[in-house]
Amino acid sequence: MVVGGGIAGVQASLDLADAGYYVYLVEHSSAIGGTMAMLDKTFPTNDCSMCILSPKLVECGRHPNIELITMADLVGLEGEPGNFTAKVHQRPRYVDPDKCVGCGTCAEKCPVKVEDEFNEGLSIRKIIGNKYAQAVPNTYAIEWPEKCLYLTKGVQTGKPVCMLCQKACDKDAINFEDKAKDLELKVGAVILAPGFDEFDPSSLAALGYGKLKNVVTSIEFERILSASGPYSGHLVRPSDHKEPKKIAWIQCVGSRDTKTGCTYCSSVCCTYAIKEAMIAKEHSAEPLDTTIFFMDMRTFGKGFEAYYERAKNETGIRFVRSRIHSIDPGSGEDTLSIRYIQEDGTPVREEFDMVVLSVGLRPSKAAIEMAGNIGIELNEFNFAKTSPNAPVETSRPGVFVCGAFQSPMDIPMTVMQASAAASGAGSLLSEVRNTQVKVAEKTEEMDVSGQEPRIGVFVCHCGINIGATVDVPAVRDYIATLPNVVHCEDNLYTCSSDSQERIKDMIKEYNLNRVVVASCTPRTHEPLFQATCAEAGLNPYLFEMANIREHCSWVHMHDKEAATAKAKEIVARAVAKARLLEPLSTVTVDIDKSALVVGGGIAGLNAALDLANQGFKVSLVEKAGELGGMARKIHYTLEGMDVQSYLGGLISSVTSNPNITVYTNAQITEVTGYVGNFTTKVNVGGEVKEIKHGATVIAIGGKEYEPTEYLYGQDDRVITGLALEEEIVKGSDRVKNAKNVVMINCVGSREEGRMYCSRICCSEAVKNALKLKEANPDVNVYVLYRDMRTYGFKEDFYKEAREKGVIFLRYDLDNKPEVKADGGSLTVKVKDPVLQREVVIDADLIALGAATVPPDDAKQIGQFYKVSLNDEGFFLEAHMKLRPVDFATDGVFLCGLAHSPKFIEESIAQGRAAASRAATVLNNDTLTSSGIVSWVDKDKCAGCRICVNLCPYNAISILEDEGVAEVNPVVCKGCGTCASACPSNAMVAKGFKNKQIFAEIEAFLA
Amino acid sequence: MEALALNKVADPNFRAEVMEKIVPQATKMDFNYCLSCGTCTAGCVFGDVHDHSDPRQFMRKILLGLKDEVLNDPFVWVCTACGRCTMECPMGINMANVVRCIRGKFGLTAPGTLQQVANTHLETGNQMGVPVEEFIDTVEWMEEEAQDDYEDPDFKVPVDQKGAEILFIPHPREVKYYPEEIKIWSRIFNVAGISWTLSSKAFDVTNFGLFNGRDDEATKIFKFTDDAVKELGVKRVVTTECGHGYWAFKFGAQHWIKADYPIQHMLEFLAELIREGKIKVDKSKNKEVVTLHDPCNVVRKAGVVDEPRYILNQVCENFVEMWPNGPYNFCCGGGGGALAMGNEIKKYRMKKGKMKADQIRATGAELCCAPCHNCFDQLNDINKEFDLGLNIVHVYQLVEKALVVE
Repeated sequence: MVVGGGIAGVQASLDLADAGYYVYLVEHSSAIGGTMAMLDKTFPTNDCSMCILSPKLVECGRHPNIELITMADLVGLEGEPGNFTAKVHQRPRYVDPDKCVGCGTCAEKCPVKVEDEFNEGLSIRKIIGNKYAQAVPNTYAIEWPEKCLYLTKGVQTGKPVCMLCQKACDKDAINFEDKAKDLELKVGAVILAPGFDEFDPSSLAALGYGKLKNVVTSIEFERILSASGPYSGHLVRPSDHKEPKKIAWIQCVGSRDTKTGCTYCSSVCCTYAIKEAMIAKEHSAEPLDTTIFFMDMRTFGKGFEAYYERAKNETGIRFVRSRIHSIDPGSGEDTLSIRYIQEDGTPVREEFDMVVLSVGLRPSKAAIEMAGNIGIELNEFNFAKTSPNAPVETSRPGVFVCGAFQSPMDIPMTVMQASAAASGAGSLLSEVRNTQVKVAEKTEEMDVSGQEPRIGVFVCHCGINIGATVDVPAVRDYIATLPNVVHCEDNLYTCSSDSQERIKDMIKEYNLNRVVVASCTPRTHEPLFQATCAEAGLNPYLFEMANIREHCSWVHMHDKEAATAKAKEIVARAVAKARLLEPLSTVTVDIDKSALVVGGGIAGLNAALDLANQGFKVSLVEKAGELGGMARKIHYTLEGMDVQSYLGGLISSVTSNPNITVYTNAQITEVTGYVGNFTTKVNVGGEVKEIKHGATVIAIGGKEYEPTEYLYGQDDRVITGLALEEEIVKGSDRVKNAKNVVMINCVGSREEGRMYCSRICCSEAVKNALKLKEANPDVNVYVLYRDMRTYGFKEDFYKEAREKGVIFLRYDLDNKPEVKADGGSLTVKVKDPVLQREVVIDADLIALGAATVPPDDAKQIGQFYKVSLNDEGFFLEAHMKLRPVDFATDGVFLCGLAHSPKFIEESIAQGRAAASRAATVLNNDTLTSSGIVSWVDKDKCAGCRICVNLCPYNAISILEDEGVAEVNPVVCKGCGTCASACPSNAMVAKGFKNKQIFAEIEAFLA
Repeated sequence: MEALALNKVADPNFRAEVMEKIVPQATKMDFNYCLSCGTCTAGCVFGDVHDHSDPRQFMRKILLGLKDEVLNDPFVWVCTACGRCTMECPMGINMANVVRCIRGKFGLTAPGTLQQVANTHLETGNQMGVPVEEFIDTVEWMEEEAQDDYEDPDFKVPVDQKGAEILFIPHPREVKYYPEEIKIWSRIFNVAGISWTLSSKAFDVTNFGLFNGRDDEATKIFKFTDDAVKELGVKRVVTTECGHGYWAFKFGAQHWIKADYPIQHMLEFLAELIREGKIKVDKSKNKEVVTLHDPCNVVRKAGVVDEPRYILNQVCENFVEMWPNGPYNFCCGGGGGALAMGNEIKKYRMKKGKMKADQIRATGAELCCAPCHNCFDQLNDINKEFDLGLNIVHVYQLVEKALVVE
């Protein structure tokens, strides 16, 4: 059972369902989607949040092994791991899901209006309705029965009061007799993913929230930006619906603040404020002035620092390092005045049209109540209590946690944890895998051969993403006139679940044998629409997409007419191709149900152990002589974990596990094959072993940067953070006798050439500072930093360090500390920004918080498994947000430092997440290829081998007997390189035949 | 400026010293948590009008151990300890307590006459050195006048009345310079028919031990009242409209002398009398446009926010707020003992006063209430300096004017 239908719950459910388990997904509200569904865009890619989430929601909604139980809460849990009885209370919906089609007639007629919670109360809705336009499930609900006229007065008096919705519904779906249900469900494991509540800033009177109309919270601002929001995506301020010209963001509202009882850092607000400011600028017709007031800019996640740099240098967002005392009414109409302090202490008063409060994350109240009901422990802030070495395990065995209920975290971390929790549950229940699942019924495929093309076209508004720029109805009307188009319609969101039903209905109604969707990119959405076609009995390759968003509306925002004209051409192009589409067949091959894990550090060990515990054979390849990786150099964590003891235990679990074969001193020399059937050759101490495996997990770690700055390597009193830790543990004399220790952070990070944050160094400095103070309270410890990035609950240790007298001194990149060795003395000169004076510190020891850099062999391993690296040399995942441990290459997964710098607990979670993802591959017996592959016309092939050499996937071989080429359809990615290079036109790229492509070109030129 | 050689000039024990000496001890860790975030300095609006008003920088010097600089920093005396910075400090650092500690525990002497006033109080039992006989004579004189004025031969201004319920603590200047005030508040109490008394041994609400930071002196000054409470057996103490004196009682009752009897400000008491119907008031007696200056010690620190508003809405027809107000008000500029710090501090005081003058002027008020003697004097100075042309009044004066006697 997964509790909570946000992105965490959705990901965990999908992982488990794909790995052979039946999942009950219990959601408190009427639809899944959680907070992510409310967001406009997501950082750091500025992807439309709904656009990337919606396919997952739809997949969840129609997965045969996921049962959605909405409007329901987990109220009790009895039994043992593997054999729980979960008590679920489900509130009545008053709408029959089997009959409701989500047409909205009931809501139109309903006379009772309430504040729309999904729009944060900025708009009104009816008490009957769906949570949001793309809601899954799309069954309507009477969400406020206590306000329904019939359910209150009608029932009391026995008279037919109101009942307008029932009269309006021609499907007879309104059921006033619906009752609450108490379900008892047998489940083996429970995953809690209830999400968070936003901090309510009403209690902070100085900020004027609730009194000053144009002071809004960040989540309200997301809704204001959103196409499906209260102002249809027009950036206007609440007081007068006029476009603001100047907006301020105020950070740390309800975070890092003892007044609100919330001393932790909410981890996500810095980056989301940057995102909101960027998007606001994009949404604004006039130039928009944006300012972010902050304390420490905590862009510590992968890609976030570059995002911050872009915001500063390219987008022109102003960043002011100053916490705000109060917001006053301004001199203009509904303007707001802020007095803030510049670095040098000079006060400034400035007016803004609108102020956004970056509110922090609180544990959800409902989750706290649930925790009490099912007996799991909470931490001091009422988040689920976990330990660093078991980050997704609650205090109750068999009950796992993921996402923001574990600690405040961003979406990638949430998705990772969700997969990790799924892996935990999967490990627990491996014996019953595939015993409870339902096999999806395949719709029999219609034979369309010989039929005249009957094309159905669906043009998407994508909220305002397309609709605000392209005249969608005009495109629809134009397309409807094209030959062979028998049906054409427009949808607010063609990807929503009700639209999928609609497409299927239209296929039946009009006997469509080709479908075109004109919306966004096929990269994210093609599989969804293809699956819809397949469900309607249409071969999925009879589907074509036209991208009128990325290729049109987003790039021609300021020329609506031309954009509309271009959209017509783009869709006409797709229709032209659709006429010539042919059904394609796929091939199925067996899967080798074992995994290879490359790298025996904490991430790799966890990945291997979880896969083994899930019942898969694992080979673990480590290039060093011993397992443990980077963690061998780490002795304790900020939270007090004994790393060596944990590591020892982990290694012995791995080496003693019968499903795991460990190879140390092992070098990979050659890799062939593809998902389901890899062959990796490994040189183990001179002997070459050949390992066959179906999935690969890359966990090759990272290393500490070797500094060239601050006299490192020239003066032996200048050491790295890791070396300091080693000396502290060994109790070296110079550490014991030191009177002044200086730590310098961001050495090699966050500057030209390595524009990323190494994430761990701030906390590591705090950790070592606390250890030094513990051993000798009189030692002076100075931490020179650029932004303290002790995010989440680590903030409390930063506070503890200040309490113990550690001096934190901030420096700027253009004013770096100067380290000098003059005679015997070692000094550091740095400017104190508060005093605006340079200070000189005598140092007995200087520890450099050196960057975490990618491993030396990343490039080589990347080439072996055909996966790519990002600009910094870390591995590049398939999608920053929603596929953080997958590679774009199927069957290959990543985790640990090789992905990006991270803490031990994060590496553990990520290792287990990679295991979960790999299990979704290995659980299958067979693998089906894509239909879009190359095919050899053997009659034409001369066996020249040009294609063999060109194929980037090694998918082509020469059949020696016949002297002609052959394509392995499972390896072929359909890139078409061979087809374009073949001198005798023997290579055919299916789905991209010459005549199809020519038809497209002609349609464009027409 | 030459670079600061931190290890040579900083006193590594300074922080520990502050922690050891600060009152209350329960908060001794707080200032160490400073994030240098700037909220305090953003909240201290006086940075707009004069130097030495950067609490963040002052705190930074303490954290770096720059003891000499801290002790010589004009901030120590320019700060009025109004507490506006503390309101929003994310680490909850009480700047006023830190400033008190530096003022009082490191051998500093306050500028101007501040220490002399404290000394007089310690020696004579009141800060103005009013002899007991003069006090009694004045009270009796006013009692007689009141009997005539109000045509009430039974009108009493009770002194040293054992067993009375309430001990009222006035300001000695009400005795020495404004004796008419005695009639005014006595009349309210008598109309309300409550059991009250003055004390001949404790008729000074002030406590400059709060300003000079010397807790030993503050304790002794508190003791005059504490002794009187015990001697007379009263149930509670009500103070006249004095801000710091009242706050010194509230603060001191926790940290100097454990006093478990209720201590109320005149505002709380008057609100209670009106709410409980003990006095009846007619707002048409005060037709002028009235605004309220919120004294920091009463409103921000002690949380007496709603009471003055309740009272003024009951006794005036035209009460208008200034902005900002309530707990977020601006200090009048005369807080923290500034009025007794002589010309050295006066220039800062008047610069601060300009902000208050602008605030008051924006309301268009004809009367400005100052339920604190300290604010009252500062506002009178402001009134003259910036030619506001309005009258500064106590709240009880308006209440007395609005009294309906049947």
